[in-house]
Amino acid sequence: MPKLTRWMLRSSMIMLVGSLALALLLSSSRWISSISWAPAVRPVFLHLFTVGWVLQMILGVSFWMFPILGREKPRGNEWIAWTSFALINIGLIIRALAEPLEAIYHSSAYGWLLVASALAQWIGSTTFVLVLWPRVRARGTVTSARRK
Amino acid sequence: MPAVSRALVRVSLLYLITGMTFGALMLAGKGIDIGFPAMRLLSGHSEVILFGWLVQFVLGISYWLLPRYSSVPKRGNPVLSWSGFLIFNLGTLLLVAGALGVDGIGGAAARATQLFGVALLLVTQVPRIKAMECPSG
Repeated sequence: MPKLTRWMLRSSMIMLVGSLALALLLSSSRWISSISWAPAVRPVFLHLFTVGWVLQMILGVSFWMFPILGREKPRGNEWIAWTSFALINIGLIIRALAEPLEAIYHSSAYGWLLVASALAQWIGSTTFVLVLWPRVRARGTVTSARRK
Repeated sequence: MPAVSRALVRVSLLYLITGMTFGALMLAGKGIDIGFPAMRLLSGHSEVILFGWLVQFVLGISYWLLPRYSSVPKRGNPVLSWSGFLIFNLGTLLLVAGALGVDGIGGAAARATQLFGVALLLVTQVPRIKAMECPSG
């Protein structure tokens, strides 16, 4: 299993636990008045689950399992993939912190952090798709690297 | 990776980029004024991500990896699979357009189209959910 896949799967599992912890918080807020602000974390729960856990798990396993490109760079440009992984996770962490705070305090600083989170997640996921795209191919098709 | 899987996976990745774009616009719109009410994209975002990306990607991978039949066609009738791919995406696109506010499309007919497409894809995949055949001797 490539190193990036290991990191992505571990990160996805941390995101899963985090999202379920937030779900527990949401469920508890009905009975604990001191956490009346909890509904502000609902979008964070949803996206830690869908992006942090589901998407990251899928992308990590796809990076491992999709047909390789050739001997030189079997999985394509790995530094782009690592950067994508970092951007997705940094974007999610920023979202987890800034989104509830922006919902409560309506501060422009938190607002711009949400923009940063949006950009980071979008760039990260889009570039990872670009890394995977050439590997969506039939087994045995020859790449330019192998022809040389 | 067979041609049907390549088609399903590639289209699902395009849906992923589209869905992430909608999501990024909505998230940015929560923080600053981006010039239009981005939260109107929410229903379209959900359709694109759940059905266009997730369901289609999984169906594409399962078409590739599920045990194959011992005789050709190894992955079932390709006409059914290709028809399922096209009809599923027709239904999904109609639903997304309806969710984004295009009048007169979307709704039950589009969902039925999407469901029919999934059924065609599953007809060839469900029988392949079986134990691998062990070599004799």
